Amino acid sequence: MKRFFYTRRAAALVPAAVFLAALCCGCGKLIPSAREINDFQLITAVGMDRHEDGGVTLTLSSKKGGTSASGGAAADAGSAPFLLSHHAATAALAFQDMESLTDKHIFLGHTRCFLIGESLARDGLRSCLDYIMRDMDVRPDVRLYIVKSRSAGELLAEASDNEEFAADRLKSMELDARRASNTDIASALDIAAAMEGGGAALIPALTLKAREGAASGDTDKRRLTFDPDGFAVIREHRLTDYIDAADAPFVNLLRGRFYNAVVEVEDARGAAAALHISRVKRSYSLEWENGAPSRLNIGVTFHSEIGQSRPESGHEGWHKYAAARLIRDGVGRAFDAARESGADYLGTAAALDMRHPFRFAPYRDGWDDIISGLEVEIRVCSKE
Amino acid sequence: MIPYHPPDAGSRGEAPGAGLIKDMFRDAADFAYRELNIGGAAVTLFYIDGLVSSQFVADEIIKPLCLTESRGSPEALLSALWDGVVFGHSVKRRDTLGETADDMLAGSVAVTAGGAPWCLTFEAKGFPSRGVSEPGGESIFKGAKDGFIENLRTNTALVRRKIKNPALRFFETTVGRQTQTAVSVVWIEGLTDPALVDSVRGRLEALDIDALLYASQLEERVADNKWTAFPQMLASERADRFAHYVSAGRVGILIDGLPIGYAAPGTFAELLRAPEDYSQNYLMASVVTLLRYACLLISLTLPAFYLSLVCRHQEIIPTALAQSIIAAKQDVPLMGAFEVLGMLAAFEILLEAGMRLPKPIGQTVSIVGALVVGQAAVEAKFVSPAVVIVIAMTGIAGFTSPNQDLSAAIRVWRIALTVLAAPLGLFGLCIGCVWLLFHLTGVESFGVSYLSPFERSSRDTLTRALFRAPLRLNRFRERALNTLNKRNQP
Repeated sequence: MKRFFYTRRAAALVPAAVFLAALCCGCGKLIPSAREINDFQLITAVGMDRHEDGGVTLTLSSKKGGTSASGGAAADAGSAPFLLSHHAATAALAFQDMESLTDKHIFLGHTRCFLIGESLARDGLRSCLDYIMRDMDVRPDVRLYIVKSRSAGELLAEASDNEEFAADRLKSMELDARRASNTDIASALDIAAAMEGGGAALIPALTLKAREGAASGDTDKRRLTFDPDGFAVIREHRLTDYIDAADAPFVNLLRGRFYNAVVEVEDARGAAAALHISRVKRSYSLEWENGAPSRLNIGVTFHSEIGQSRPESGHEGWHKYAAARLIRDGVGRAFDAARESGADYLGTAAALDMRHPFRFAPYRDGWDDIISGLEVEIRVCSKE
Repeated sequence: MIPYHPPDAGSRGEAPGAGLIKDMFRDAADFAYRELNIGGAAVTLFYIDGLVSSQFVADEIIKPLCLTESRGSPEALLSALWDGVVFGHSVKRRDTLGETADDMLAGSVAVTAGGAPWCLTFEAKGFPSRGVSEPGGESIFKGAKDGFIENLRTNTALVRRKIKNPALRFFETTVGRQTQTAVSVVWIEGLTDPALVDSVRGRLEALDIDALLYASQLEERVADNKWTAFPQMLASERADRFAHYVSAGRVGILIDGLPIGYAAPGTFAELLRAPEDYSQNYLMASVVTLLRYACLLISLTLPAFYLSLVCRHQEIIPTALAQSIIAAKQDVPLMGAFEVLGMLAAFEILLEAGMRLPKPIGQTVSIVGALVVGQAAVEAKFVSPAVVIVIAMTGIAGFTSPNQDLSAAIRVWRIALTVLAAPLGLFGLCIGCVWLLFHLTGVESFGVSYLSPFERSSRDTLTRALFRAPLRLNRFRERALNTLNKRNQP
């Protein structure tokens, strides 16, 4: 009996010992998908553009160099920006080709953002979204941005020239958005879900602009930079319209994604004062007539306080009136623009479905048509 | 079992005559005897030189003997000595040669007279022994400075001084065919679980070994689970800590020749307790205890975790950190697994070298090894600085363990987890951790679960294991010890 157990134990140990020996002798092929981190080129930002021949141009941006010279704009060693560009018929093919352009494995597991050029966005985003969603390295919550009027490659190249990393800058922009509410986050997963549902979605837009000081010739290098510039409206996988940067906070407010903002208003004497607006809530409700929606009420509550102003700027609570007027006008403008575009990117249908789950259901599908002829009342209240 | 035939087994039962004693210790240079003629009777004193006090033998045994008058027969003379002629504080009548020899080996003087069929042994211990001093491995700032020494009787006295309770019991037995080492089992009658006492006594009495000279010779044989690297008994050089264990309801074991006191059962949570925990504020002690658990986790899993991330799950490393690791590892030709396992091996070698060498040289070797060789290896691109940092953090975290045996067990498992993580990444690490948990849940120490009090959801888990609750709230003794008296304070 003892011998049996010893034999069985030995039998179990032999394969284990062989396996460990194989590992220890560096038999890498026995190890499934063995990859060392220093074999990777971590890509932090990807630019996608429409190429002249109808294909897709990819621009990869990262911090560290290490590609062969044939791989395009290979950077110096150190922490200099790495930029690699290539085009092919599809995004997947372009990525595949790029593997041979570098001595490292292109790794998209650390990609934070995909920047999409306007031309590609107007032609259609489906293939890009499909690639992002099916690639097992790319995180589904990767951020999407539309580059307004320019190509994504151009933006990444400008950022690279300025020794700036697009991904870092965009991350900082995301944080700023919590303070200014002038942009938002759009993940590939959200956009794909919205497109699947046949709805519309907003993707933050970026624009290249001259950096202050460049015109005066302070430095040759720092010419252009990029900033958030409202939203791109995506409908049926295509870019259909833009929302101006000025309206972006109010669009965010109507979408329920307004956090904080500082606005400048005029006080009673005509001097500028800064107001800090926070704790904003919006609500949608419908009034019904003969069982059909007759009026849409938009309610907004907010809290405001004076950030900076001269003493004795006006009567008590003047800043609340000023802020309320500003919000009412902005919300009206943003809502009208949404109605005109015929795309429910503000999510009113979803909000009303929550508010009137049974009565609203029959109107859900044709809501885009109904809303265009609906009377709208906006009520703005300040919180104490 | 191999039959045991002790030398001169046949003569051990014979009457202790002078000739037989001389024959038994023939060719032993330290064997000494003194022949006297007391009133016509041939009296011989036998002893082992070096084990007895010469002064005591001369003043308290030989001198009274020489002053005594003739008693007629040798038996009458021995009876007179038994009745108090000799001033020895401890005298025993021995009827066999074996008993006489055992007493002599324990530091007694045997006295035979003429052809008397029995003899007397007088305790006259006087062998060299170091004084009670502060234990090197467990010194604390606020606490007693007396540690165990190699003398069993001194150690029992130290315990008795801490626990002045007449119910404190010392059961003594000898272990080792060759060494005849005295082992003392310590417990408090009426408090300690009698089943636990019986279990410890039974295991000690059943020990049939050649020698008991080292700690593991007892630990390994007495422990329940032979196939584990984890210590199953609590060991301390401190008399106060040992007394704490005994007064909590554990059974203590003291071994002659070892300056260590053992306590059973040993549990994982108690192994992570340090003597300072009860000599400093409970809040600080709780924080430090939690820190110890965290360090244990770091020491156990950090190399495996690092290897998993670097070789298998690069996507979950924060981007900035990943870029730093890539930059550090850029020109290192070795695979990550080799780097980590190699550095772990180097760390173990340094530890071993430091221990084997005299203390000042050992420290030099550690510093040279860690700083100079480590720095040179990084500069020569043999290993990446990240791996050096990981292994250094692992090593330092491992040193926070209050018990060196536990630390050694963690080192064994650390390597096992790293080997598992090399091919399988975090899955391997998880498999290893589950395996370790399975293993630990199966370990028992003298019938008590090794993971007690974690094995059940009880207040003990928080108040005794993870934190050190204020002492006034610890009104009950450890449940797992099944003590007869459950309360330790009103």
